[in-house]
Amino acid sequence: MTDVAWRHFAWQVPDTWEMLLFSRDQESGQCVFADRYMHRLEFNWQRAERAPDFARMLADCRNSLTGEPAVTAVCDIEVAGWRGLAVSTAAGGSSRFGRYFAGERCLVELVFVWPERRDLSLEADVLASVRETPRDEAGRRHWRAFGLDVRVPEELALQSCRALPGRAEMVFRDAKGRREERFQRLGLVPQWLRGTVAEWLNAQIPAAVTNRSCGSETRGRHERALIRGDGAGAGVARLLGHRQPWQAAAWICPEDGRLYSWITIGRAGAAGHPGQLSCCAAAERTPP
Amino acid sequence: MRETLFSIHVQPVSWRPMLQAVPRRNAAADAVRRPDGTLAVHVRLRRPRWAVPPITWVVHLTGRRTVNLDAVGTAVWDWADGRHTVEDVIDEFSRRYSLTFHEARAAVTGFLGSLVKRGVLAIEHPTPPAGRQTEGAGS
Repeated sequence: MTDVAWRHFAWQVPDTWEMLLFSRDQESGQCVFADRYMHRLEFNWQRAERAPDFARMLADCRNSLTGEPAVTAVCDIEVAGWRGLAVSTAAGGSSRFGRYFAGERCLVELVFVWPERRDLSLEADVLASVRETPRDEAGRRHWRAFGLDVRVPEELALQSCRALPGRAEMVFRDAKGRREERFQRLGLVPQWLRGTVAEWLNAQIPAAVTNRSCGSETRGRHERALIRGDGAGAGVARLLGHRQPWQAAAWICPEDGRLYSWITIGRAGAAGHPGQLSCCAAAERTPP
Repeated sequence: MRETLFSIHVQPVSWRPMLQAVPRRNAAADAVRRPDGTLAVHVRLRRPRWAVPPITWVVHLTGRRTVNLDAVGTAVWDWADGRHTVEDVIDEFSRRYSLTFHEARAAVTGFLGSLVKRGVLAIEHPTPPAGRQTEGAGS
């Protein structure tokens, strides 16, 4: 099973399922996972101040589904604390479950698509794995998708996420645009990387970033290129001539051969902890 | 409460038929391997109706289009031998370049689409729509 962490929730999906669709909206959205042939799982969320009336929701849903011509059977189910409905059709079936998470004040719905038989064991494993991800001791939130495993200060929100073949990128920014953290995971490295990782990283940082100091560090078998510098401030700070620090790191993970990079712009918040990007278990075991 | 929760209608769409299609090289194309191992594929073009003298005295038509493939494109061309399905090509691609299946699927299908547009490849569907065997610009 593969771990996924998104919108302050964590759960597990089979290794062959990949996230194909996602929402950045904290209030309401979904992530969709597919195996190699079709969509298999929807993870939907909706912020709600209190737990809904599940009995009424299920009854409404059951009534609407019973009238569908393609639906052959609908039955109530409860698995690992999740209540829902199993829907059978001539072309397969689906099972949908809902649960309210009081910590996040969020209603979560999981919809499984079963092209053949419903896999009760897999369904139970996925449902049992869903949990809220609280802040860690450094005040960071965990996000994990598309091979990126990052911990980001809570005041930063997911600004953009791109998942292209061999290129995954997540950008987090605070509400005032003063602080930003960018994480990248790039594949096909031998096909495009010319020169060293340090040279590549230096080219990623705008020319306006001055007072650069370059360095390197070794964590386990990971050789990291590091750059620090000063860039122009954002907004009014720019007009006042204030500078803001830039920090960047990049390395090629020997486990998967991908290039990972992390760029942080602006000063750390009150907690003072920058984000963290992990590429593999070996890197996680290495002390910072 | 959001309306969609517990009332969404899942309509699973499978892309299995697309994966079972077979890419075929244009039989009328000439592939020339360059010293670095990549390919230049020359595709013959149909002579346009307007290409008659005296226009052709002024406009010189080569009668062919050259598509230069990089190393990745050459690998896809090599696998598109009429025996491998799109799924096979994706699996080979993901293995060679250490990509996930859907990363490779997006790359390969996008690349196959561009080669079909340029007349380098055609795609043969296993269950073709009535009266249609292939799509694309195969000569």
